[in-house]
Amino acid sequence: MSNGSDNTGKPPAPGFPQITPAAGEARALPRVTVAPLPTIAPVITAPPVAVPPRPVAPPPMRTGPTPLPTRPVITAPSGFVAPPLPPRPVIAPPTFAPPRAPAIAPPPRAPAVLTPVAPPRPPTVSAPRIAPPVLNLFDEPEPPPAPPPPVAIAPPAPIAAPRTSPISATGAIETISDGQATALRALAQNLNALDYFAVLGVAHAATPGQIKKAFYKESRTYHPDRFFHLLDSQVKTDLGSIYKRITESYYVLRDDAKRKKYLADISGADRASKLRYTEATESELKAEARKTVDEEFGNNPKSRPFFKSAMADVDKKNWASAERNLKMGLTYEAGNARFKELLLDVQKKLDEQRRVSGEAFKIK
Amino acid sequence: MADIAVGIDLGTSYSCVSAVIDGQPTVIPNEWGEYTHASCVSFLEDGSVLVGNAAKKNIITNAENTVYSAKRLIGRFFFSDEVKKATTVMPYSIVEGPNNSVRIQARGRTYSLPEISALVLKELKAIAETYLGQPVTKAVVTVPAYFNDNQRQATKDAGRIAGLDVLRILNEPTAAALAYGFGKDMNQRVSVYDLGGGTFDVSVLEIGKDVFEVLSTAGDTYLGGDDFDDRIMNWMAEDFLAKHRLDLRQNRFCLQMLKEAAERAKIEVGLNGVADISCPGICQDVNGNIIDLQMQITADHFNRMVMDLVQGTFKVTDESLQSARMTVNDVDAVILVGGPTRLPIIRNSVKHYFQKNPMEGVDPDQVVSLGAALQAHALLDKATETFLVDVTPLALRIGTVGGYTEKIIDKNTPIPIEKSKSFTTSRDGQDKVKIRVYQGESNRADECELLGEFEFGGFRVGYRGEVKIDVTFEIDSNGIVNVQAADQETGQRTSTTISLSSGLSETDIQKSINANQQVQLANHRDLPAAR
Repeated sequence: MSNGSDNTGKPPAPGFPQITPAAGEARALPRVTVAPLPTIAPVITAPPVAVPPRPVAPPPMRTGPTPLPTRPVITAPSGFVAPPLPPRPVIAPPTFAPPRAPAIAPPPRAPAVLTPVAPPRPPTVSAPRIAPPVLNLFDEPEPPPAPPPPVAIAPPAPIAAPRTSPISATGAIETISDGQATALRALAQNLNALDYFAVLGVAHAATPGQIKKAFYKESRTYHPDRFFHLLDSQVKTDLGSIYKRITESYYVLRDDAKRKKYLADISGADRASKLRYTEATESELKAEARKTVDEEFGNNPKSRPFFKSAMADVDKKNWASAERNLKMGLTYEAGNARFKELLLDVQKKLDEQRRVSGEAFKIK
Repeated sequence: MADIAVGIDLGTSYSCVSAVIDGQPTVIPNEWGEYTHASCVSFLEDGSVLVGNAAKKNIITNAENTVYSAKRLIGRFFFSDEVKKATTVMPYSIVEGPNNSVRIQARGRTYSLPEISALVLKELKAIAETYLGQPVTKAVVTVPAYFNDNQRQATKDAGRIAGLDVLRILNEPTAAALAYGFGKDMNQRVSVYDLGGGTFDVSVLEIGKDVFEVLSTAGDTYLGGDDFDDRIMNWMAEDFLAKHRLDLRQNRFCLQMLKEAAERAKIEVGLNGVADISCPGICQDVNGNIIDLQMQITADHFNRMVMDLVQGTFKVTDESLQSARMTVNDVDAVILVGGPTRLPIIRNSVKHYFQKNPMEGVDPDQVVSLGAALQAHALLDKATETFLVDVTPLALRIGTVGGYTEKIIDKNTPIPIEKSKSFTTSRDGQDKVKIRVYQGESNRADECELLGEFEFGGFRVGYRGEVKIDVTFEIDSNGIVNVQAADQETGQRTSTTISLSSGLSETDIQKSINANQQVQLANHRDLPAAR
């Protein structure tokens, strides 16, 4: 670079901004906007490293007089003389001060106002547990036909009648006829009456291979991409809900553990309410477990040993000790109804015992 | 003229556009014969905008007004780590917008990230229109498989702003597999190893003739070719610091030159096994001496520098195989996607890991856009021949009490899918309920990505616990989450408002569409500004 040596030993060219130790940030520097020193240009053009194989565009016609890059000058502190340097004349202390204080405002964490409802619990109304929202748009609030009953009455229904597809499994889809649309409508509404095996059209004993095959077959028929070019949004919505149920069925049936549980669910008494796979969530399972522990030993680690020994005392009919332990336990956990009740019982027993022993003493 | 839809690979560093022409998926070159275009947007002094490889040169000359790697920021909150990191290293100005969103300032105007990406899309659209000689209004746009809902939504918004009807948001590895298996009538299990500029994804697919079923997907949105460059850059800067006691990283202009040199060195070391790095006159010392940077890097040295990054990708690959319940022996073919997979160290490691040679003859820079074009074509076609069954990469969760979350939909669940959950009111007379929706693998809310807060109103008012609301969570074919709620007893659908979201409002989008139409693309003077 010829221009490079030109400047050697001279004070920095006027156009070059200086980086002073205080200004750690490039943006704060004065920028060269005019005075395009043509000799400097080569510095910014590609260093002689082999250009990547990508075709390089000819310079766009419109870049015009671009402001030249400022070749920064890095200035050491004023005491700078020669190689044996004082501390470390780096531009700024190596601490990277972010230009802006990142105003970190994590979203306000409001407590969730909702409490998830405990899931399975056989519903009192045997309405389909989950009605796809689309249905509500067109039906009366409660769909009159009340789909499930016939299926629900005979619990271990071996397999629902295989669905007949209103749509050809192969070939181009030009249009959907009114008849097909009505059939799709009916199928979409009837989904909640079908179990997953019926949705995929496989037997309860189907092998994983058969399930996959059935899913591929249904995908070829009902995949929404097949109908993407259609304009009728109602047909598309129906097809969408049908296909979503197909993927849901496949998701459950392809997993051995889930499939086993599902099969047990739909073979049981409340089949109608379990046609869609429900799974107690992690937190619900945990809450359940905690509840049982709470009821047995209290939910405070400090009170638990007292309650435990109190129970042992009650077993041994050692009422006085049981009372002490219960009282100690309740100081840590005043709200435990179960042990409060137990304390009353124990105190009653203790009174009785005292009365008995007192009377006995008197008699003697 | 027949309706045409293009496939667009909107990458972190490079983008590519393709279309199916006469039944053949074809990559569309620009006027100068370039097939890939830097995802780089440079705002020029006269108000016009330069996009592509020409704009990439402006990273050094017009640093403050040249935006690149915008994909790293799209759909993220301002307080996220990625954005914090970008604010320190990017030469352009990143500021906070409303609702913790990210905005970029250039030439006195503030742009949202979708607006920046929309400018890249506008350029690609213009390239396609010039080549095809007809207006292009429909497109399939790809995103990394591991993108969350916010990022997908933002990408979709970018398409709308650019005047494109985004037919589908497609996952990049899935698109690559489609390009690989299309029309070949094969029954195979393939693994797609997609190392891009800013993200890493790996997907395992089963191709059964015309059905492309994604079995699992895994990824890391913080790992990509840029990180390889960073390693070289840091090494160069450290070396320079030791020699001259000047830290080049303190100056953004030096930093940009270092970055460019590092990227070239990486490519050259991959091609030739050794690379000479030379940045003449990178800076001046206090005496006005101009200092050059001259170094050499060997393949061995480079490999040692990036070994841990490469190993990181195989941890993710392990995870994907495990989720698919497969071992490497079950994989019939391996497809490499993304520029960095040209590096011998990646090729050799992949070969070693899978015990087989990756597929040859697929250009890792173009395969994704070709797949997207095939999908775009299939969507418009009446006789669709391919069926993609993708999965959701992240578990969908809702916030519960105490900063915890509860899983609603598992990761790797096939989409589209919906799942309902019942909720009940917790207070008497409560007339609205709020739920926060998250995506992520942790049960702690602060370790997951917040998608939004939904507020449901307009249901019956009753005693607490009496009103039950069914909330339906749907993940559609784009991997985008929709939430709806209905009163369980009456079936009455409730109104929904999203009160917290990183996305743009409808009015913002309309404004952006207008602004985007006004923009003059610097390379395409002959094109009308708005079509």
